[in-house]
Amino acid sequence: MRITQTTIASTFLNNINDTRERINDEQTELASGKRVMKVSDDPVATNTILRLKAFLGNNAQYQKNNAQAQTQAEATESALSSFSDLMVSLKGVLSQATNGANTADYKTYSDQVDELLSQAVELGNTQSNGVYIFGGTNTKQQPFTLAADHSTVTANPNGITGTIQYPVNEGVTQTVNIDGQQAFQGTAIFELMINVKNELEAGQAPTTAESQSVDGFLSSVTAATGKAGAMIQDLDNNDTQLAAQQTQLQQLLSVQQDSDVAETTIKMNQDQLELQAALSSGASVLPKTLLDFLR
Amino acid sequence: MAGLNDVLNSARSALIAQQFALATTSNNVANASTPGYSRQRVDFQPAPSTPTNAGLLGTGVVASQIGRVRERFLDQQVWGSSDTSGKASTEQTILSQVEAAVNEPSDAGLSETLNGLFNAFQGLSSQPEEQAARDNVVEQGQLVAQSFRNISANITQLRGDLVNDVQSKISNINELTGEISDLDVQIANASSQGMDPSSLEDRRDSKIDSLASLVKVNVVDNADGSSTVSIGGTIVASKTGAVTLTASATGGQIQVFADHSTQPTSVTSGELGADIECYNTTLPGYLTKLDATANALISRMNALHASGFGIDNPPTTGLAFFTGSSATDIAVNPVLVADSNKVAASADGSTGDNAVALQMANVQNEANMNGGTTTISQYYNTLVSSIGTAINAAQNTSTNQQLVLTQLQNQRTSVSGVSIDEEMTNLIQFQQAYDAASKVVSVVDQLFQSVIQMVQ
Repeated sequence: MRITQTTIASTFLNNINDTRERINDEQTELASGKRVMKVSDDPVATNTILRLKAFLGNNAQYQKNNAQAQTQAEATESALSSFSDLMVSLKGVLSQATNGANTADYKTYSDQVDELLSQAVELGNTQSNGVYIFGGTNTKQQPFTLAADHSTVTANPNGITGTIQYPVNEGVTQTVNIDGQQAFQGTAIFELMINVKNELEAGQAPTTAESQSVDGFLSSVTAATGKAGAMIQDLDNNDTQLAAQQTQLQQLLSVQQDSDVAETTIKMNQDQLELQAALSSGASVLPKTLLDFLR
Repeated sequence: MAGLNDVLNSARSALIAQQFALATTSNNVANASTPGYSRQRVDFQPAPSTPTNAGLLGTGVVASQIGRVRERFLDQQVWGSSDTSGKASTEQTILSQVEAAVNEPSDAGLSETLNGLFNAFQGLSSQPEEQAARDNVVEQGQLVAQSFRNISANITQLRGDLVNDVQSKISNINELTGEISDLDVQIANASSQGMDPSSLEDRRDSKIDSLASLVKVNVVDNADGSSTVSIGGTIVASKTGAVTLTASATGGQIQVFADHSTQPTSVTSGELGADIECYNTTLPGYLTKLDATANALISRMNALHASGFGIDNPPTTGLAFFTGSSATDIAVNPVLVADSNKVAASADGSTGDNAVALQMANVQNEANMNGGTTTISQYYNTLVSSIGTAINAAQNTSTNQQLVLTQLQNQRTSVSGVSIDEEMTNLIQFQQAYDAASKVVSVVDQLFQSVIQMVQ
């Protein structure tokens, strides 16, 4: 093939251009730390990256939901455990009132029960993060209202039932509340306390049936506390799982998206060497013609 | 009988012929880097012989013709490859702009904002009473709507720009065909007068080079050296004149018409072909898919949202979450923007219920596109990768075709290009031949003197 100066020049330029383009790509990759900056860098990997990023975003949200659920569940557990302590105190008062023949003390017992009633209703109206945790799904309305004269306790007419479930993992929802109906059998506990209080006030000893009811309520509240404890346990496990998933997803994303710095650096060194070789050979070949040797 | 005059004459013819050759060499060197220039060569022929007693005696040399060294076959091949290369590189440029409009994978792309919206609903489901969670849902909804509208507007804008680009390419083509036709007229005239049209042919061929990357051309050579250039079966330039092309964009389609023809000229390749294809098919295809994505999101989210209740008093129900029906007009319902308490998270009107928020968050995993096989995000992600794949394909074609074209152009310069080394070698040859002929003249001069002295 006949090679002219133009051929040498254009081949030289094309090659230099190609090499510079590669160096530019490698430099961009190293500077950003990312292998895939645009879709066209790797369309298939982009699809995977977008999917992994969605999973990661969901994971972050699940972690937030989980933390929120933990707060709610802990508040529920603590309120319920205080409530069962309260039931134990009530049981104590009742047994004193039943066994102690001293009817003169009934007024004191009555006052104690009344005090416990106020505390019980207060616990029933526990709020966490501004919502009533025993209100079922009517979280903004006070579930229990104690009449001013402490003669009745009324439940929220819109209802105190309803399960609240949070999405806490892919396809997993976790119940995070125990509604007033489940925890306190509606207003039954409070009504029992009011009855006992009224009887004591009237000088009547609490009946055996009433004592048995208190025992029944105590065990049901304890069971509810256990349920809340189990909820917390589930959420703790889920939290650990979410953190592990996050690490795994980040590793997968990194494999797809991040640049292999060592490999790219080596490639870039090679290309730079190539560029230098091309430039120096070009510099020596391009200016040479027969003219240099003609005298 | 050969006389001294015959010797002198043949030496004179040699001097003239070598001068021609030297002039041609000088011209070649002068044009060594002129684009499109083909090296020229002088053809030497022995001058007619005269009969003598001893036989036929040569009478010197004649520079019979100056012509360009050109391989027509290579020209045709270069022109045949230019349009494919031009199409691929233009397509790559246009699609890269679509890629920039889509801006994936990034933290601000539509894919990420869609995730943000679904996560906001997840967040709302864990705090349906919380103002901040509600505001976040509205805000993420607006970001999604904004992303859809931006991408759609950018692609539409790009499409509008293509119309201008097509018009400027068409006028460029018309200019080129006009010049080609003018040059063809001159070439035909020069040929008919027996003159050498080399430089005119070079100029015409480099115009055809430019034309060939814009649009696929078909070039037929005529006996008089002129050529007939046609695009999509329509003759656009010949020695009888040029036909102007016009482009019209009606009904979302760009069509090219030749002069007074009502039948569109088919332009499928070259830079112009790429513009037209992107305008007519590729970009509308992307927009349709983007609209389908937006539409699926709007209708599904709206249906769910309308079934739920807000936490205002009394709880509002039956509201749409988005307004609009496509990527161009999607927006969050202004009623919700004004009062985020109207965002429906509850299925029964109670404040703590989150059933609807959960359902809306779960739209992320619902396969409700492509006949119930694909989720909205997957559909969009597939669109994004299809853009990337199209760019890669164009990139590969462009690189390959560029290689082919470079190869062909190298072959062409190998035949037609000026080699300084070669010209210098020729220069020495011609110089020596000229020197030798001069020597002959001076010898003849001495001989004449000898003859004259003989007589004295």
